[in-house]
Amino acid sequence: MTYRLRVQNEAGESADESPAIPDPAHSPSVALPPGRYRWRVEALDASGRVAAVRAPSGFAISSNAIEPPWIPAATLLARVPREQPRLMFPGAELESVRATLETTRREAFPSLRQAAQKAIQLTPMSEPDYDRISDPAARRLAYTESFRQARRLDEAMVALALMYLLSSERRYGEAARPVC
Amino acid sequence: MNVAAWNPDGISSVMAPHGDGIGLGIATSAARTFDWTDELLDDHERDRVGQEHALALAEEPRAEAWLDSALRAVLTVFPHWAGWDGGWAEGTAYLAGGRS
Repeated sequence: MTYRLRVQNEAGESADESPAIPDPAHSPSVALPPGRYRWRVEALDASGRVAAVRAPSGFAISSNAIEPPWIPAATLLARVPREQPRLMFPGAELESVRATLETTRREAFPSLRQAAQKAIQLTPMSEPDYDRISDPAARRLAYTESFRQARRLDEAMVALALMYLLSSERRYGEAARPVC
Repeated sequence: MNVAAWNPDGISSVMAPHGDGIGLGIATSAARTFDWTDELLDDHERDRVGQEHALALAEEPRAEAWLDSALRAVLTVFPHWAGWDGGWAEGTAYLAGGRS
């Protein structure tokens, strides 16, 4: 089953029409001008025929509405560096970031090292199994404890990985690897 | 750490039936860890992490569809409750808590 959104302006003219989409989220590819609109959703069967129609609803766009920003997903993905690392400290900037460990990050870097040294001693967490507990109260308590452990794991992984990225000290990276 | 061995459709899923907090945290921390330690992974390990946890987004053919859906959801569905004032999950305090 797919769905098609149809939008009409006050004159009954088509203002926007989505393609047949399986997703319940759609935004027009063009900004609609101020005015009142009616919209309805058609449910399409496998052959593309209209199987059901949702009763029309309305909305209005005020004259002082601000056009939302929209950058196509393909454009955003094209900006992602091809080479890793690419999150927060992209490879192209890594050497300049490392140079700051002796200057602007001189005070922060020892804190990271301390966190990484603590994290390297952390026992790897087993996959929680609280979902097998039938009693809701006991399951909730077990979930809460697993959540606390998982937070420590998250913090440890990030501290170790970042320490490796900035220092190139392999033991931190080896301890952080998500497949260890 | 061994989170890549966990069932991606189980506890570590953001769709886990009894709470998404664990999966959300791992989605953030594992992505950074994978990215920052990538050069230590061999091809087998890289495939395993990427396939099981969909972390290699830029190389993932479905990434454009996922990102397109997420952007449209943010702009059209979210915020979806508590009216114009928004709710507790939509403010900077909750965002800061989740990012700390």
